[in-house]
Amino acid sequence: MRIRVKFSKYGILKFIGHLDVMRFFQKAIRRSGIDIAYSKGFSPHQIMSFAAPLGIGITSDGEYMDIELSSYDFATKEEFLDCLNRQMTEGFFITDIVTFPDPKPNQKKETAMSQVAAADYKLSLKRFDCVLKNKTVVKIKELQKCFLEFMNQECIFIQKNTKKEEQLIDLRPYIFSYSFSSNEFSEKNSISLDEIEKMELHATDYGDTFSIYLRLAAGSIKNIKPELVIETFMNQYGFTHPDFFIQQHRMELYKKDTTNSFIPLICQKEKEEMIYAE
Amino acid sequence: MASQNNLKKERNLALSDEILMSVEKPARYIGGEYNSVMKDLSTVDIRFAMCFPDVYEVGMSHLGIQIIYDMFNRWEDTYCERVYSPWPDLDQILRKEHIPLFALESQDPIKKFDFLGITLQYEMCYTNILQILDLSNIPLYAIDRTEDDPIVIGGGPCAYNPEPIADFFDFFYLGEAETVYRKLLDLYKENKAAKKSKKQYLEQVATIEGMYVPSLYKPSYHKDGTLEAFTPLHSNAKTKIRKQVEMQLSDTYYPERPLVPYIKTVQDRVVLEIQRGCIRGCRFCQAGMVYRPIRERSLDYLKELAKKMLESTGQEEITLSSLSSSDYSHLEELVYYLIDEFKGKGINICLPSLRIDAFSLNVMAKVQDIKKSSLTFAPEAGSQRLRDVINKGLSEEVILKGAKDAFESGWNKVKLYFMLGLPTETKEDVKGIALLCNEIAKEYYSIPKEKRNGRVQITASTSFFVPKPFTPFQWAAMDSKESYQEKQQFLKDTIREQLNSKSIRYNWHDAKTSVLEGVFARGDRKLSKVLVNAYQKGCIFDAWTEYFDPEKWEEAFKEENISIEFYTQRERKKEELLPWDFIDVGVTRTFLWNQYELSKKEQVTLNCRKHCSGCGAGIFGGGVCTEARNEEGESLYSGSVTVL
Repeated sequence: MRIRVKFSKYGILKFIGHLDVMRFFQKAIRRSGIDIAYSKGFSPHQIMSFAAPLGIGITSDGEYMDIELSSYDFATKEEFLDCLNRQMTEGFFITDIVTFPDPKPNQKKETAMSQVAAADYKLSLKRFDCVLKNKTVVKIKELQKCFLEFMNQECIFIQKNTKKEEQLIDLRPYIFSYSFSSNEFSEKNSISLDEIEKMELHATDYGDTFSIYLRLAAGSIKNIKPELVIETFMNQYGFTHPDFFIQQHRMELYKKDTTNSFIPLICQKEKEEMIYAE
Repeated sequence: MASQNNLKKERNLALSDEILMSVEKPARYIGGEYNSVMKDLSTVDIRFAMCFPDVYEVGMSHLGIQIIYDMFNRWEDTYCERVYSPWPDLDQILRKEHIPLFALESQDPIKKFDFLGITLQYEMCYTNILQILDLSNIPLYAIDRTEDDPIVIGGGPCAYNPEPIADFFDFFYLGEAETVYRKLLDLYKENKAAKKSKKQYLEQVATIEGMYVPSLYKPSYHKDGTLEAFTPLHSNAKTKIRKQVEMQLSDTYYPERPLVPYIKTVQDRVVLEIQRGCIRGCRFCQAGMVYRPIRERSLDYLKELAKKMLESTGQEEITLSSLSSSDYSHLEELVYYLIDEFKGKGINICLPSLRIDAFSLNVMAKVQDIKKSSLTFAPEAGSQRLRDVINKGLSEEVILKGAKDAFESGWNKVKLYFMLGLPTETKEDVKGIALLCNEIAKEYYSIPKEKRNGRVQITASTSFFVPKPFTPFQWAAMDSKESYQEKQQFLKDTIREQLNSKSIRYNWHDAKTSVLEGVFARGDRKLSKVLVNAYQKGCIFDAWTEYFDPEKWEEAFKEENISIEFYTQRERKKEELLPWDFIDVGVTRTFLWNQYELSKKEQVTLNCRKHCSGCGAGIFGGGVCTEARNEEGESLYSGSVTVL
């Protein structure tokens, strides 16, 4: 039996890295008493995998991990959530769980990691006056105007230097959606406002600064980090800024459904079909 | 969850996002680990900051602090928080931005606390003590502090010679923490209620056994620099201070819910201290003397603790901790219990400091991956003669037999630890290290080829012997750096000449830090100014090779007109008053001197279970000292008398 767990990572825990998150969950699951399955071999390890590593400094309401269970005895989702949430520290919170039946003999096991195709981010300036051009503050209106212009380009080339060669990559096709407000983002991507609120619940509020909502390609095929988009934008317009001037918040991770549209890694259908112990 | 997160509100951090993002491993400074304790400040009377003066990953691995943290926080009126040395990257930022050093839990400045307790685990962390005080805005010298500064307490093994750092502390707690801390805190509360001064408090502290208040004593020196007298300045100051010992180790404080760090630490596992003290009496070993008498924890207590700690932490590894695990009388029962109970749950069991015999090989084959693990021996000296000098009861025969048994069970890696510079050491003794390594390799190739597991790998490591207080070698001269380096080179060459030299790897420890360790281990109060001088030159993290700067240290000694050789290379006379003579650890000076004499005659002394040598630890009235004995004087405890 496989379960998929959705969780938030926020507050002081934005300072711990991906490997430490894994170590934390291994211990938390041991403490919870959940009957997790172990790999074979001399030093067995828990069968657990994460959808997409989150960089240090980024908060999130859209983290996912898959774990394999040998058995479980939860009659409700709440019991399941409580059992795990009792093991969390300040900065981790489990928000959702679904169970998946074991794959049929000819079916491939699809892990969260292999499914990820896109991610939503909210990026906020930590201070309204930290972006400069020629030593004067760039106003938020101006930033928005420039960003629209930036996005209206047909191609956004960036230079990517690998060991062997220099490569020009066009970023534009991997930026699926962008907005300056949650309302607009909700409309563009048909997400309910309630849903959006949950997706940015643990994002730090910096007041009336400049924010951008982005949907970017994520996962094993093409993974675009939001700072790459911002840096390219800043460079193109000659804007300067201090280090760590933007707070990134991951809102959600998506996979593709049969019609090639993006659906969250835990989708409505899976929630409805969840199996509980009898 | 009562013990953690009972205050759900988000904590504010002492450091900004920008700072935390720009330093290495920001998780060192955020606290909030699972099982860390959050208390409402309005409900506590005493705030205690417990410090390990090294980086987080090292400090978090220390059992002593976990015991104290748990003990203090069980008391409703006390809130114990933790503080570790900020790594040099953050150190610079704190200085530049004038950010005071803070405790991990509340993120409040250390200066706000009632107490700052600093554990003294090794001499090379002394400049880090100054760093902690300085970054906390607490004056370095105790004499310069006011009523607004926390009371600074030192404890741990280096407190057995507190003199080089005496000027920086308000008092030292000598011995084990479980016994009188409650008394000290009650006294503090009374004192505070009566609006008495810090000075008055310290005078009261001096009346409690084991507490040393340096400001109440004055050392005076002979012309040659040796100690002439150590004079109490107050009627409450005892002339002899006896260490504290917890005699009820199965009925005392022990963390049932140890902290679980987010980042990987040095000791990233549950630690089960099975006993305290050692019966062996190796003459170089301070721990073996100052923790006497050996006291075991009961099997039932340990079983219960192991279960509770594994369940409350979710750790996947448990290690047994003691100076010599094989001497624990219920070891087999305990180890088989751990294997039966936890091995199936994917929990690793670490068994350090085990003697190699049929039992340990059997258990290790069960708990370790033979192909990957190595066996460790600590003969400490290369020749039987020198092993007799240091009273290391490990014979060549036993080592070779152990190695052979291990090879036959599938192991092919052996690690060997030695010291160079031991008293009376000759070239022959050094050569003995190379010969022993070669013999071990020979054992390997003596077993049939089909039973071997590839090539044998022998790793020999040498460290530079540093004489320590409260050991029989406390009077001995330390070898010179040049002589040590010569021996190192000689050993390297001799290993190369061995038939099996290709199977032997040799690692050695740098001599420069050992010399400094030698100075501070047996130093006196004159050294505090050298420490301050070196610190002001920028010396911190001296235990870390990348930060140790021997030139700055040399300058500091020169500028303060202090001779290194006076402390290291001088054999003390029997009648010389030693800076730590005012401390009573149970083991007597007479016993230590007799041991020193015996060492020169290459005569060994039997271990405590074989025969009581009347070391003086019997005064504590427990442990091995009161075990029933047969007519030959052997302890009858559990019927398992060890052979060595």
